[in-house]
Amino acid sequence: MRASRYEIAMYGSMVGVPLLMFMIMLAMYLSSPYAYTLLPALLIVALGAFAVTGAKEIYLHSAYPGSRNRMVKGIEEHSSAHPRSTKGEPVTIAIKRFNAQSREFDRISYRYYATKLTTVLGALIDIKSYQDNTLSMRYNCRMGICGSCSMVVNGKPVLACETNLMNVAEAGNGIVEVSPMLGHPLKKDIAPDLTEFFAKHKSVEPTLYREKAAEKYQVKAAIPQTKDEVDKYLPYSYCLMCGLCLDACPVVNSNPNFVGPQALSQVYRYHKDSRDQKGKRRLFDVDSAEGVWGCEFSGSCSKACPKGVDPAAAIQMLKGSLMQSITEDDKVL
Amino acid sequence: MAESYDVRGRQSSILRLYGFDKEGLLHMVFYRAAIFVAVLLIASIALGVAYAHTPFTIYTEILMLVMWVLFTPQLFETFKASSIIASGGVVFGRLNASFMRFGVRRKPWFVIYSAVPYVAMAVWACGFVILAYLWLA
Repeated sequence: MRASRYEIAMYGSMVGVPLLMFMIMLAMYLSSPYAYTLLPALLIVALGAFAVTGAKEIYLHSAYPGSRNRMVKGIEEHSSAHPRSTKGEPVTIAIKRFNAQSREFDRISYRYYATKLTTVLGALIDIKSYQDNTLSMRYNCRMGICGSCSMVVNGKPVLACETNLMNVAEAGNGIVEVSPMLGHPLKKDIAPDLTEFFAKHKSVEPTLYREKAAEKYQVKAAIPQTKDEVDKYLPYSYCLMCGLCLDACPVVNSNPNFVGPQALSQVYRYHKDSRDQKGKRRLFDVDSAEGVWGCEFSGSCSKACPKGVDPAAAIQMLKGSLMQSITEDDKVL
Repeated sequence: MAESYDVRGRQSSILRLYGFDKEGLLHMVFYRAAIFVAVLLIASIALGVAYAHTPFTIYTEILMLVMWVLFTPQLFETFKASSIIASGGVVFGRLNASFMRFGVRRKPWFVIYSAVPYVAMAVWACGFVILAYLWLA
Protein backbone atom coordinates (compact mmCIF):
# COMPACT_ATOMS: atom_id res chain seq x y z
CA MET A 1 0.00 0.00 0.00
CA ARG A 2 1.35 3.41 -0.97
CA ALA A 3 2.28 5.39 2.09
CA SER A 4 4.00 8.31 0.43
CA ARG A 5 1.60 11.02 1.61
CA TYR A 6 1.81 9.85 5.20
CA GLU A 7 5.56 9.59 5.02
CA ILE A 8 5.76 13.01 3.37
CA ALA A 9 3.82 14.39 6.37
CA MET A 10 6.24 12.68 8.73
CA TYR A 11 9.39 13.82 7.02
CA GLY A 12 7.88 17.20 6.26
CA SER A 13 7.19 17.73 9.94
CA MET A 14 10.72 16.62 10.82
CA VAL A 15 11.99 19.42 8.58
CA GLY A 16 9.21 21.87 9.40
CA VAL A 17 9.55 21.78 13.18
CA PRO A 18 13.21 22.86 13.36
CA LEU A 19 12.68 25.29 10.49
CA LEU A 20 9.78 26.98 12.25
CA MET A 21 11.64 27.09 15.55
CA PHE A 22 14.53 28.73 13.75
CA MET A 23 12.17 31.23 12.10
CA ILE A 24 10.62 32.07 15.47
CA MET A 25 14.10 32.73 16.82
CA LEU A 26 14.87 35.03 13.90
CA ALA A 27 11.51 36.77 14.18
CA MET A 28 12.09 37.42 17.87
CA TYR A 29 15.56 38.69 17.18
CA LEU A 30 14.14 41.05 14.57
CA SER A 31 11.20 41.97 16.82
CA SER A 32 8.70 40.83 14.25
CA PRO A 33 5.06 40.36 15.32
CA TYR A 34 4.93 37.08 13.37
CA ALA A 35 6.93 35.50 16.19
CA TYR A 36 3.84 35.63 18.40
CA THR A 37 1.05 35.00 15.92
CA LEU A 38 1.52 33.17 12.66
CA LEU A 39 4.71 31.22 13.41
CA PRO A 40 3.53 29.63 16.70
CA ALA A 41 0.31 28.58 14.95
CA LEU A 42 2.31 26.92 12.17
CA LEU A 43 4.58 25.38 14.79
CA ILE A 44 1.60 23.78 16.54
CA VAL A 45 0.52 22.23 13.23
CA ALA A 46 4.01 20.95 12.51
CA LEU A 47 4.44 19.62 16.06
CA GLY A 48 1.09 17.89 15.82
CA ALA A 49 2.08 16.19 12.57
CA PHE A 50 5.42 15.20 14.07
CA ALA A 51 3.88 13.84 17.27
CA VAL A 52 1.09 11.94 15.48
CA THR A 53 3.28 10.37 12.81
CA GLY A 54 6.08 9.63 15.26
CA ALA A 55 3.75 8.17 17.89
CA LYS A 56 2.03 6.07 15.25
CA GLU A 57 5.42 4.75 14.13
CA ILE A 58 6.42 3.93 17.71
CA TYR A 59 3.01 2.37 18.41
CA LEU A 60 3.30 0.25 15.28
CA HIS A 61 6.76 -0.78 16.36
CA SER A 62 5.46 -1.81 19.79
CA ALA A 63 2.45 -3.73 18.45
CA TYR A 64 4.43 -6.90 17.92
CA PRO A 65 3.83 -9.15 20.94
CA GLY A 66 7.44 -10.24 21.36
CA SER A 67 8.62 -12.30 24.25
CA ARG A 68 10.57 -11.55 27.32
CA ASN A 69 14.27 -11.87 27.03
CA ARG A 70 15.53 -13.53 30.15
CA MET A 71 19.09 -14.43 30.82
CA VAL A 72 19.89 -16.99 33.45
CA LYS A 73 23.30 -16.55 34.99
CA GLY A 74 23.34 -19.88 36.68
CA ILE A 75 25.63 -22.20 34.89
CA GLU A 76 29.28 -21.29 34.65
CA GLU A 77 31.89 -23.86 33.99
CA HIS A 78 35.56 -23.22 33.87
CA SER A 79 36.85 -26.21 32.00
CA SER A 80 40.57 -26.60 31.67
CA ALA A 81 40.88 -26.68 27.95
CA HIS A 82 43.41 -28.83 26.19
CA PRO A 83 45.92 -26.17 25.13
CA ARG A 84 46.58 -26.19 21.42
CA SER A 85 49.91 -24.60 22.01
CA THR A 86 51.94 -23.98 25.14
CA LYS A 87 52.56 -20.50 23.76
CA GLY A 88 48.84 -19.66 23.82
CA GLU A 89 47.37 -16.86 25.91
CA PRO A 90 44.52 -17.82 28.24
CA VAL A 91 41.22 -16.23 27.29
CA THR A 92 37.81 -16.66 28.87
CA ILE A 93 35.08 -17.11 26.30
CA ALA A 94 31.61 -16.60 27.76
CA ILE A 95 28.92 -17.90 25.45
CA LYS A 96 25.32 -16.83 25.91
CA ARG A 97 23.58 -19.99 24.75
CA PHE A 98 19.89 -20.09 24.02
CA ASN A 99 18.26 -23.12 25.61
CA ALA A 100 15.44 -24.16 23.29
CA GLN A 101 13.75 -26.31 25.97
CA SER A 102 13.65 -23.79 28.79
CA ARG A 103 13.57 -20.80 26.43
CA GLU A 104 16.16 -19.09 28.56
CA PHE A 105 19.72 -18.01 28.01
CA ASP A 106 22.55 -19.83 29.79
CA ARG A 107 25.84 -18.01 30.13
CA ILE A 108 28.57 -20.64 30.03
CA SER A 109 32.26 -19.73 30.25
CA TYR A 110 35.08 -21.68 28.66
CA ARG A 111 38.80 -21.36 29.14
CA TYR A 112 40.71 -21.23 25.90
CA TYR A 113 44.35 -20.78 24.94
CA ALA A 114 44.63 -18.52 21.95
CA THR A 115 47.45 -17.47 19.66
CA LYS A 116 47.68 -14.12 17.95
CA LEU A 117 46.11 -15.52 14.77
CA THR A 118 43.17 -17.30 16.42
CA THR A 119 39.77 -16.17 15.22
CA VAL A 120 36.60 -16.31 17.29
CA LEU A 121 35.25 -19.02 14.97
CA GLY A 122 38.43 -21.05 15.32
CA ALA A 123 38.10 -20.89 19.09
CA LEU A 124 34.44 -21.91 18.98
CA ILE A 125 35.25 -24.88 16.75
CA ASP A 126 37.98 -25.95 19.18
CA ILE A 127 35.61 -25.58 22.13
CA LYS A 128 33.06 -27.73 20.33
CA SER A 129 35.73 -30.29 19.42
CA TYR A 130 37.56 -30.58 22.76
CA GLN A 131 35.40 -29.17 25.53
CA ASP A 132 31.69 -29.16 24.83
CA ASN A 133 30.38 -30.93 21.77
CA THR A 134 26.81 -29.81 22.54
CA LEU A 135 27.58 -26.29 21.34
CA SER A 136 25.54 -25.42 18.25
CA MET A 137 26.46 -22.70 15.79
CA ARG A 138 26.46 -21.94 12.10
CA TYR A 139 29.67 -21.81 10.10
CA ASN A 140 30.92 -22.89 6.72
CA CYS A 141 33.71 -21.35 4.64
CA ARG A 142 35.74 -19.91 7.53
CA MET A 143 37.02 -17.19 5.18
CA GLY A 144 34.41 -14.44 5.24
CA ILE A 145 32.60 -15.26 2.01
CA CYS A 146 29.58 -17.37 2.97
CA GLY A 147 28.14 -15.23 5.77
CA SER A 148 27.15 -18.22 7.94
CA CYS A 149 29.08 -17.47 11.13
CA SER A 150 27.30 -14.23 12.04
CA MET A 151 27.08 -13.64 15.78
CA VAL A 152 27.52 -10.93 18.38
CA VAL A 153 30.97 -10.64 19.95
CA ASN A 154 31.36 -8.23 22.87
CA GLY A 155 28.18 -6.47 21.86
CA LYS A 156 29.04 -6.01 18.20
CA PRO A 157 27.55 -8.04 15.32
CA VAL A 158 30.47 -9.59 13.40
CA LEU A 159 31.51 -12.53 11.26
CA ALA A 160 33.28 -14.83 13.72
CA CYS A 161 35.73 -16.07 11.09
CA GLU A 162 36.98 -12.54 10.44
CA THR A 163 37.27 -11.48 14.11
CA ASN A 164 40.61 -11.85 15.82
CA LEU A 165 40.13 -13.36 19.26
CA MET A 166 43.09 -11.67 20.97
CA ASN A 167 42.07 -8.20 19.77
CA VAL A 168 38.59 -8.67 21.15
CA ALA A 169 39.91 -10.17 24.39
CA GLU A 170 42.23 -7.22 24.97
CA ALA A 171 39.36 -4.81 24.46
CA GLY A 172 37.19 -6.83 26.84
CA ASN A 173 39.77 -7.23 29.64
CA GLY A 174 40.46 -10.86 28.81
CA ILE A 175 36.82 -11.90 28.45
CA VAL A 176 35.13 -12.49 25.12
CA GLU A 177 31.34 -12.59 25.23
CA VAL A 178 29.71 -14.43 22.37
CA SER A 179 25.96 -14.33 21.93
CA PRO A 180 23.52 -15.10 19.14
CA MET A 181 22.07 -12.44 16.90
CA LEU A 182 18.96 -11.28 18.77
CA GLY A 183 17.73 -9.49 15.65
CA HIS A 184 16.63 -12.86 14.28
CA PRO A 185 14.53 -15.62 15.86
CA LEU A 186 16.71 -18.15 17.67
CA LYS A 187 17.02 -21.89 17.16
CA LYS A 188 19.54 -23.13 19.68
CA ASP A 189 22.68 -21.87 21.43
CA ILE A 190 24.11 -19.26 19.04
CA ALA A 191 22.42 -20.51 15.88
CA PRO A 192 19.69 -18.18 14.57
CA ASP A 193 16.63 -19.06 12.52
CA LEU A 194 17.11 -17.31 9.17
CA THR A 195 13.87 -18.47 7.53
CA GLU A 196 12.18 -15.07 7.93
CA PHE A 197 15.34 -13.30 6.80
CA PHE A 198 15.44 -15.26 3.54
CA ALA A 199 11.70 -14.74 3.07
CA LYS A 200 12.13 -10.97 3.35
CA HIS A 201 14.93 -11.13 0.79
CA LYS A 202 12.78 -13.18 -1.57
CA SER A 203 9.83 -10.82 -1.14
CA VAL A 204 11.64 -8.02 -3.01
CA GLU A 205 12.23 -10.26 -6.04
CA PRO A 206 16.03 -10.03 -6.08
CA THR A 207 16.56 -11.17 -9.65
CA LEU A 208 17.00 -9.37 -12.93
CA TYR A 209 13.66 -8.76 -14.64
CA ARG A 210 13.53 -8.85 -18.43
CA GLU A 211 10.39 -8.02 -20.36
CA LYS A 212 10.89 -10.37 -23.29
CA ALA A 213 9.56 -13.84 -22.54
CA ALA A 214 12.57 -15.42 -24.20
CA GLU A 215 14.93 -13.59 -21.83
CA LYS A 216 13.03 -14.17 -18.62
CA TYR A 217 14.83 -17.35 -17.66
CA GLN A 218 17.86 -17.51 -19.92
CA VAL A 219 19.63 -14.67 -21.65
CA LYS A 220 21.25 -15.82 -24.89
CA ALA A 221 23.95 -13.19 -24.98
CA ALA A 222 25.66 -11.01 -22.42
CA ILE A 223 24.08 -7.61 -21.97
CA PRO A 224 26.88 -5.05 -22.29
CA GLN A 225 27.34 -2.45 -19.60
CA THR A 226 29.75 0.42 -19.29
CA LYS A 227 31.99 0.77 -16.24
CA ASP A 228 29.86 3.66 -14.99
CA GLU A 229 26.72 1.54 -15.26
CA VAL A 230 28.37 -1.27 -13.31
CA ASP A 231 29.73 1.09 -10.64
CA LYS A 232 26.21 2.27 -9.85
CA TYR A 233 25.25 -1.07 -8.34
CA LEU A 234 28.50 -3.02 -7.90
CA PRO A 235 29.20 -2.47 -4.15
CA TYR A 236 25.60 -3.39 -3.33
CA SER A 237 26.09 -6.73 -5.09
CA TYR A 238 28.73 -7.73 -2.53
CA CYS A 239 26.04 -8.75 -0.06
CA LEU A 240 26.67 -12.14 1.58
CA MET A 241 23.25 -12.36 3.21
CA CYS A 242 24.95 -12.81 6.55
CA GLY A 243 22.11 -11.09 8.42
CA LEU A 244 24.37 -8.83 10.50
CA CYS A 245 22.65 -5.68 9.23
CA LEU A 246 19.25 -6.91 10.40
CA ASP A 247 20.71 -7.80 13.76
CA ALA A 248 22.22 -4.31 14.07
CA CYS A 249 19.10 -2.50 12.88
CA PRO A 250 17.20 -1.05 15.88
CA VAL A 251 14.00 -0.84 13.83
CA VAL A 252 14.04 -4.57 13.03
CA ASN A 253 14.75 -5.32 16.68
CA SER A 254 11.70 -3.32 17.77
CA ASN A 255 9.42 -3.98 14.77
CA PRO A 256 10.00 -7.37 13.08
CA ASN A 257 7.57 -6.42 10.31
CA PHE A 258 10.13 -4.00 8.86
CA VAL A 259 11.58 -5.67 5.77
CA GLY A 260 15.10 -4.76 6.83
CA PRO A 261 18.23 -3.16 5.39
CA GLN A 262 19.43 -6.23 3.51
CA ALA A 263 16.33 -6.55 1.34
CA LEU A 264 16.17 -2.81 0.74
CA SER A 265 19.81 -2.66 -0.30
CA GLN A 266 19.09 -5.38 -2.83
CA VAL A 267 16.09 -3.43 -4.13
CA TYR A 268 18.48 -0.55 -4.78
CA ARG A 269 21.01 -2.92 -6.32
CA TYR A 270 18.55 -4.15 -8.93
CA HIS A 271 16.90 -0.76 -9.38
CA LYS A 272 20.27 0.69 -10.40
CA ASP A 273 21.23 -2.24 -12.64
CA SER A 274 20.73 -1.07 -16.23
CA ARG A 275 19.90 -4.63 -17.28
CA ASP A 276 16.82 -4.69 -15.06
CA GLN A 277 13.59 -3.69 -16.77
CA LYS A 278 11.25 -3.66 -13.83
CA GLY A 279 11.52 0.10 -13.57
CA LYS A 280 9.58 2.00 -10.94
CA ARG A 281 7.65 -1.06 -9.80
CA ARG A 282 10.62 -2.01 -7.64
CA LEU A 283 10.33 1.33 -5.88
CA PHE A 284 6.56 1.14 -5.45
CA ASP A 285 6.82 -2.36 -3.99
CA VAL A 286 8.79 -1.01 -1.01
CA ASP A 287 6.93 2.30 -0.74
CA SER A 288 5.31 1.47 2.60
CA ALA A 289 5.76 1.94 6.35
CA GLU A 290 7.25 -1.56 6.57
CA GLY A 291 9.36 -0.90 3.51
CA VAL A 292 11.77 1.91 2.84
CA TRP A 293 9.98 4.42 5.09
CA GLY A 294 10.44 2.26 8.17
CA CYS A 295 14.11 3.17 8.17
CA GLU A 296 15.03 5.82 10.75
CA PHE A 297 18.60 6.15 9.44
CA SER A 298 20.52 5.18 12.55
CA GLY A 299 23.23 3.85 10.23
CA SER A 300 23.95 0.81 12.41
CA CYS A 301 23.48 -1.60 9.52
CA SER A 302 26.34 -0.06 7.56
CA LYS A 303 28.59 -0.17 10.62
CA ALA A 304 27.92 -3.89 11.04
CA CYS A 305 28.22 -4.86 7.37
CA PRO A 306 31.46 -6.83 6.86
CA LYS A 307 31.59 -6.27 3.09
CA GLY A 308 30.99 -2.53 2.77
CA VAL A 309 27.57 -2.86 1.14
CA ASP A 310 26.40 0.28 3.00
CA PRO A 311 22.68 -0.55 3.20
CA ALA A 312 21.98 2.73 5.03
CA ALA A 313 23.15 4.76 2.04
CA ALA A 314 21.22 2.51 -0.33
CA ILE A 315 18.01 3.07 1.63
CA GLN A 316 18.45 6.86 1.66
CA MET A 317 19.05 6.82 -2.08
CA LEU A 318 15.96 4.65 -2.49
CA LYS A 319 13.97 7.29 -0.60
CA GLY A 320 15.41 9.94 -2.90
CA SER A 321 14.49 7.89 -5.98
CA LEU A 322 10.97 7.38 -4.67
CA MET A 323 10.43 11.06 -4.00
CA GLN A 324 11.69 11.92 -7.48
CA SER A 325 9.52 9.29 -9.13
CA ILE A 326 6.20 10.32 -7.57
CA THR A 327 4.00 11.86 -10.26
CA GLU A 328 0.24 11.94 -10.75
CA ASP A 329 0.24 9.79 -13.86
CA ASP A 330 2.54 7.04 -12.63
CA LYS A 331 1.38 3.71 -13.87
CA VAL A 332 2.26 0.47 -12.15
CA LEU A 333 3.74 -2.00 -14.61
CA MET B 1 11.72 -28.70 12.58
CA ALA B 2 12.28 -27.15 16.01
CA GLU B 3 10.40 -23.98 16.78
CA SER B 4 12.32 -20.76 16.91
CA TYR B 5 12.14 -18.21 19.70
CA ASP B 6 11.78 -14.51 18.97
CA VAL B 7 12.96 -11.85 21.41
CA ARG B 8 12.27 -8.89 19.13
CA GLY B 9 9.44 -6.43 19.37
CA ARG B 10 10.28 -4.18 22.30
CA GLN B 11 11.48 -0.58 22.14
CA SER B 12 14.13 -1.43 24.75
CA SER B 13 15.85 -3.49 22.05
CA ILE B 14 17.31 -0.29 20.63
CA LEU B 15 19.60 -0.17 23.70
CA ARG B 16 21.61 -2.97 22.04
CA LEU B 17 23.19 -0.22 19.95
CA TYR B 18 25.17 0.89 23.00
CA GLY B 19 27.73 -1.84 22.35
CA PHE B 20 28.84 -0.67 18.92
CA ASP B 21 26.95 2.39 17.65
CA LYS B 22 26.44 5.14 20.22
CA GLU B 23 25.72 7.71 17.52
CA GLY B 24 22.81 5.62 16.26
CA LEU B 25 21.55 5.08 19.81
CA LEU B 26 21.58 8.83 20.46
CA HIS B 27 19.64 9.42 17.26
CA MET B 28 17.00 6.83 18.14
CA VAL B 29 16.57 7.89 21.77
CA PHE B 30 16.40 11.60 20.95
CA TYR B 31 13.76 10.95 18.28
CA ARG B 32 11.53 9.10 20.73
CA ALA B 33 12.04 11.76 23.40
CA ALA B 34 11.20 14.49 20.87
CA ILE B 35 7.81 12.93 20.23
CA PHE B 36 6.83 13.26 23.88
CA VAL B 37 8.26 16.76 24.19
CA ALA B 38 6.34 17.79 21.07
CA VAL B 39 3.07 16.85 22.77
CA LEU B 40 4.04 18.81 25.87
CA LEU B 41 5.02 21.77 23.74
CA ILE B 42 1.69 21.84 21.94
CA ALA B 43 -0.12 21.80 25.26
CA SER B 44 2.13 24.51 26.63
CA ILE B 45 1.56 26.82 23.67
CA ALA B 46 -2.18 26.24 23.75
CA LEU B 47 -2.43 26.85 27.51
CA GLY B 48 -0.23 29.91 27.19
CA VAL B 49 -2.53 31.42 24.57
CA ALA B 50 -5.63 30.50 26.58
CA TYR B 51 -4.56 31.76 30.00
CA ALA B 52 -1.59 34.08 29.59
CA HIS B 53 -2.54 35.49 26.16
CA THR B 54 0.91 34.75 24.81
CA PRO B 55 2.18 31.58 23.18
CA PHE B 56 5.53 31.85 24.92
CA THR B 57 5.34 31.35 28.65
CA ILE B 58 8.40 30.29 30.62
CA TYR B 59 7.32 26.64 30.25
CA THR B 60 7.01 26.98 26.47
CA GLU B 61 10.42 28.61 26.28
CA ILE B 62 12.09 25.85 28.28
CA LEU B 63 10.34 23.11 26.33
CA MET B 64 11.25 24.73 23.05
CA LEU B 65 14.91 24.89 24.06
CA VAL B 66 14.74 21.22 25.02
CA MET B 67 13.11 20.45 21.68
CA TRP B 68 15.89 22.37 19.96
CA VAL B 69 18.47 20.08 21.54
CA LEU B 70 16.45 16.93 20.84
CA PHE B 71 16.17 17.83 17.18
CA THR B 72 19.91 18.22 16.73
CA PRO B 73 20.66 14.60 15.71
CA GLN B 74 17.60 14.54 13.44
CA LEU B 75 18.79 17.64 11.63
CA PHE B 76 22.32 16.30 11.30
CA GLU B 77 21.10 12.98 9.92
CA THR B 78 18.73 14.75 7.50
CA PHE B 79 21.54 16.81 6.00
CA LYS B 80 23.79 13.75 6.05
CA ALA B 81 21.18 11.77 4.11
CA SER B 82 20.91 14.62 1.61
CA SER B 83 24.67 14.56 1.11
CA ILE B 84 24.58 10.80 0.63
CA ILE B 85 21.82 11.08 -1.98
CA ALA B 86 23.51 13.95 -3.81
CA SER B 87 26.90 12.22 -3.93
CA GLY B 88 25.57 8.75 -4.76
CA GLY B 89 26.77 7.27 -1.48
CA VAL B 90 30.36 8.52 -1.70
CA VAL B 91 30.12 11.25 0.96
CA PHE B 92 29.35 9.90 4.46
CA GLY B 93 29.03 6.44 2.91
CA ARG B 94 30.60 3.23 4.18
CA LEU B 95 31.04 1.54 0.84
CA ASN B 96 33.49 -1.28 0.30
CA ALA B 97 37.04 0.07 0.68
CA SER B 98 38.36 -1.66 -2.42
CA PHE B 99 35.51 -0.29 -4.52
CA MET B 100 36.04 3.21 -3.14
CA ARG B 101 39.70 3.06 -4.02
CA PHE B 102 39.41 1.77 -7.55
CA GLY B 103 35.83 2.31 -8.67
CA VAL B 104 34.94 5.77 -7.48
CA ARG B 105 36.12 9.12 -8.66
CA ARG B 106 35.63 11.78 -6.02
CA LYS B 107 34.39 14.96 -7.64
CA PRO B 108 35.78 18.29 -6.35
CA TRP B 109 32.39 19.53 -5.20
CA PHE B 110 31.96 16.56 -2.86
CA VAL B 111 33.81 18.69 -0.32
CA ILE B 112 30.74 20.91 -0.14
CA TYR B 113 28.53 17.87 0.47
CA SER B 114 30.88 16.85 3.29
CA ALA B 115 30.67 20.25 4.92
CA VAL B 116 26.92 20.86 4.64
CA PRO B 117 25.81 18.91 7.76
CA TYR B 118 28.45 20.54 9.94
CA VAL B 119 27.58 24.03 8.65
CA ALA B 120 23.95 23.28 9.38
CA MET B 121 24.89 22.18 12.90
CA ALA B 122 26.86 25.38 13.43
CA VAL B 123 23.90 27.51 12.33
CA TRP B 124 21.59 25.41 14.51
CA ALA B 125 23.85 25.83 17.53
CA CYS B 126 24.04 29.61 16.99
CA GLY B 127 20.27 29.73 16.83
CA PHE B 128 20.04 27.88 20.13
CA VAL B 129 22.41 30.31 21.80
CA ILE B 130 20.53 33.34 20.46
CA LEU B 131 17.15 31.95 21.51
CA ALA B 132 18.40 30.99 24.95
CA TYR B 133 19.83 34.48 25.38
CA LEU B 134 16.61 36.16 24.22
CA TRP B 135 14.45 34.16 26.56
CA LEU B 136 16.50 33.30 29.59
CA ALA B 137 18.91 36.23 29.91
